[in-house]
Amino acid sequence: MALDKNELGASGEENRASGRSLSDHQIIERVKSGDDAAFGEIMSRYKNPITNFLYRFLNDYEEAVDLAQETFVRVYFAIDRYHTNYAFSTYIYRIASNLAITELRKRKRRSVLSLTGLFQSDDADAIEFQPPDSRPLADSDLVEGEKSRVIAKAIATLPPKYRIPIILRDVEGRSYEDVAELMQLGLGTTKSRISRGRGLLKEKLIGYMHGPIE
Amino acid sequence: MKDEEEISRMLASLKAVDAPEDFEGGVRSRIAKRREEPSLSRPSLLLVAKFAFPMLLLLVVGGFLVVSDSGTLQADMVPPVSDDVQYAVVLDESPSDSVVAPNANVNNSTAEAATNRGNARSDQASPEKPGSTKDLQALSQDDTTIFPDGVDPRKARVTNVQPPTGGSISPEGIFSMMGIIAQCSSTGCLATSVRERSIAEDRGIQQGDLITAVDGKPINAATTIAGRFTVTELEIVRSGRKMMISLARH
Repeated sequence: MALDKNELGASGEENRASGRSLSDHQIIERVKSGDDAAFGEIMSRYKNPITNFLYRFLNDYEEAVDLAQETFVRVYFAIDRYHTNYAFSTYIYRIASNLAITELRKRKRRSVLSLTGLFQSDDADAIEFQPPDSRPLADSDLVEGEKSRVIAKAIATLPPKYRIPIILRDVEGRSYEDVAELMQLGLGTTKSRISRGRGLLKEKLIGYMHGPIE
Repeated sequence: MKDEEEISRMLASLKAVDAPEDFEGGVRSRIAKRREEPSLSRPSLLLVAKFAFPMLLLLVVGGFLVVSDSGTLQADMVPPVSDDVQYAVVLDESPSDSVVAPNANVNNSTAEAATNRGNARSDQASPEKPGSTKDLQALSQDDTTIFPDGVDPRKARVTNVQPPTGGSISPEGIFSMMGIIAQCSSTGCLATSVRERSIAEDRGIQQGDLITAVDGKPINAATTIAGRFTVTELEIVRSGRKMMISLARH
């Protein structure tokens, strides 16, 4: 299965356009049979959701892009071992999740001091109190940006077992069933974790809830 | 529940980030680079796991079995120890380098034995004149040390007789280790038989010899021996004559 950077020319774009009507499994079969343009279609479908998922998980865009690319490399080299018993989206998110968790462990070992690190504590379930900033802000965009950053930081402080389902469900908008399958958990456990994750976030973001800023 | 819904809504309001424009190019570059790397791919690792590990396991198990077998062989080579064996007699040297004919007849008549003894004596003094009358005369005059037929005084000696710790050994036990079956009485220990190819036979002890002393110390039925000691000389009475049979190397 040769793959070259410039292989997707005009014909590749045509193939990609035609591939959009195909299901993930059909495209994967094409990739397995040596259709490199089909792999481009897979990347086109999932690069943004995977990057976004990893960004929300790590709260670091550069790292998220790096791991997203690594996710597709893993998919490419392991494509022959992929079975269509379950959804490809589940498969690729699981790879991304594992890479993200590995990256978190590496960070912990390196004791990287980052903004996220400052916000995190050793006790994964510890509650971080984020006092609300009640000062009036003139620029609503700035306010919205600040709120987004606080929420992102709050997500990043969650333990991975709550962080992943919360991102998949509330940020990515995936169904409970999808999340349960990806996490390889029961539906009840998944819902419970999502609920628990929201509870933790509520304690962190209490000052930003019910406020005048929307 | 309302709070949870609001949290969910807040999270959903987060702007989704997109992958950079050169995302796909980056993936393809990584794939191409990964292909060029001579690193172990997953199939290679599987190959190693499939063959190398079983081979290693086989070597370990095989090595263990070989060690076990060699241990067994060594154990087989060790003579079985009987509960009856309580003592040991250690020889300094094998008597195989005898300078006297090993087949010298030590069971002949008294006269022949006397002649042979004379031969043995003369072996030390003048080996070129075995069995001469002069030797017999010398023998009769010197009864302190006699080397019977077949005895090389430069050869082995009986040494390191080790009774069991805290125990003692009877005279019969001592002589038994030399190859002498003896019956001890108040006058000494009578050799009732001598085992073939034993130290005693090699030194010329004969059936009927009366052993009266060991290393100058009288020995009889009442004697008990304890501790570690060395036997170098026996005093015997043969046909009414006292003889000294040396077992020590000279």
